Amino acid sequence: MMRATLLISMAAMALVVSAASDNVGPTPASPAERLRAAQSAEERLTLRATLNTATFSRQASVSSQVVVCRKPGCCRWEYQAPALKGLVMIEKGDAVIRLDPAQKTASVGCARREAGAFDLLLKNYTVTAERADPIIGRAADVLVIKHREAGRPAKKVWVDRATNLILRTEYYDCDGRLATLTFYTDIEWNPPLADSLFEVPDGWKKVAVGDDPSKHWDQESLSKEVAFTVREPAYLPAGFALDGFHLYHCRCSVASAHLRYVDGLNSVSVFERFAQCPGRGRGRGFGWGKGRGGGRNCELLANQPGRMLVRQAGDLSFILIGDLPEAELTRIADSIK
Amino acid sequence: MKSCKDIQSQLADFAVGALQEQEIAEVERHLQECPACRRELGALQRTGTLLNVLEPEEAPADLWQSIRRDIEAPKPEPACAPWWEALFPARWPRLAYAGLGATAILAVALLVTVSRLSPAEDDETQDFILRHGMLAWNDPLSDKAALGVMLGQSEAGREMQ
Repeated sequence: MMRATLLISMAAMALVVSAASDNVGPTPASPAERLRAAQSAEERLTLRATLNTATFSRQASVSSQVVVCRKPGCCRWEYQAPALKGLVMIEKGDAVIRLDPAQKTASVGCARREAGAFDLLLKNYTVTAERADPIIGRAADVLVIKHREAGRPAKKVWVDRATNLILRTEYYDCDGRLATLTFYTDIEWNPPLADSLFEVPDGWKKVAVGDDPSKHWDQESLSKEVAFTVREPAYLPAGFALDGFHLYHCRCSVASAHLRYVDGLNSVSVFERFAQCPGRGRGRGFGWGKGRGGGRNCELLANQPGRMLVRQAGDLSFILIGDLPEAELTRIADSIK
Repeated sequence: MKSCKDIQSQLADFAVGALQEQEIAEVERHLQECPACRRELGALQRTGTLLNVLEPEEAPADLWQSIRRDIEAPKPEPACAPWWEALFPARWPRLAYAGLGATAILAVALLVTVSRLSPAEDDETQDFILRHGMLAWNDPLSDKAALGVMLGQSEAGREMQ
């Protein structure tokens, strides 16, 4: 009798606990989980929208209104700024297509998707929820993505509470300056979108990109291809990992080794090639600027965040590009022996 | 809330990213609600774009010689001392004026050269910069709309061809 009473009491307690937990509801997602959901949200959504994007640099600030059409697996960006001459970018699966209306040319390339890249971002960067801040009348939360070390780029994203779509993005360069800003100004949800929007128009010339970044090389095979021993930097800033060895041909068809390093949000490229490229020496300016081969000081890029550094060692040239402080880029260059 | 006048006095700095974070947020909040200031910002950015496509003028090859000739040529003494003599006293030796002229020429030459050696204007490095940007296309949280602008700005999208 007592045993039966005890069992009934325990069952009743279990029911009470179960009912209580139902009332509590799901645990709110952490900022990192929200960001992960936001990263993949746009791939599930169907929308037609307008957004504004601006890139600020020391030399030029460029902005454009962009009409975006998106459905699962496809996206189309139509740039409205006259300076961009009707540029259209299309992403379809792993293909990235650039439509150039002036030439009626479609350049088709491939963009790799690295599965572990987001985990690397979470390893190197902290994600914090800063505040709630509505955008175009939609409830959104501001997430701040900052590197664990100072002197690295940072990002702020406004994540839509209803869909997890990123409604606004601010990118701060390694000097802490706002470098790019992109935000939606209106969104039409689930409109009918013709498949033809995501195709190359009939009669356009298709040009394939020569060097496929999805092709994997190792150091040895790439060294054979470029006809010199590809060298890796001995020093990398904390958190960076090798993304891959790539082959790249510049406009004068000289083969370069492209070593790419990533930390989840930022990347550093090291290009290596023979210094005596036939395309060299076409630089304008006064005489002493032409055909220079002795390397160049660290310079800010004109059209995107980051710096560039050119070094020459023996008969090889090393071109380093990345959004890092000058001292860090120099240290990487110094470590290439 | 700041007035349009206050915001418009900050727009030039805003356009080149020279404001502090809090000021940026203030301007952006205002821009979202004020079409007049948005138009003003658009005009500023268009002007900036136009200025950036202008090629710097190269100094004539005989500029130094002509300045030197002007400096060294004997000048008739004016009847009364003109106003500029207060700024450039005649008792200064001609060499000092020549030094000033040479410094000015060197400064102009340096400015022109530095602007022309910027990576954006250099065919040789533009390919590598584009390649670097293009491979960031599928990085986590990549801003593809902004990357498209970078590609479109490039000379006929060299990377993709």
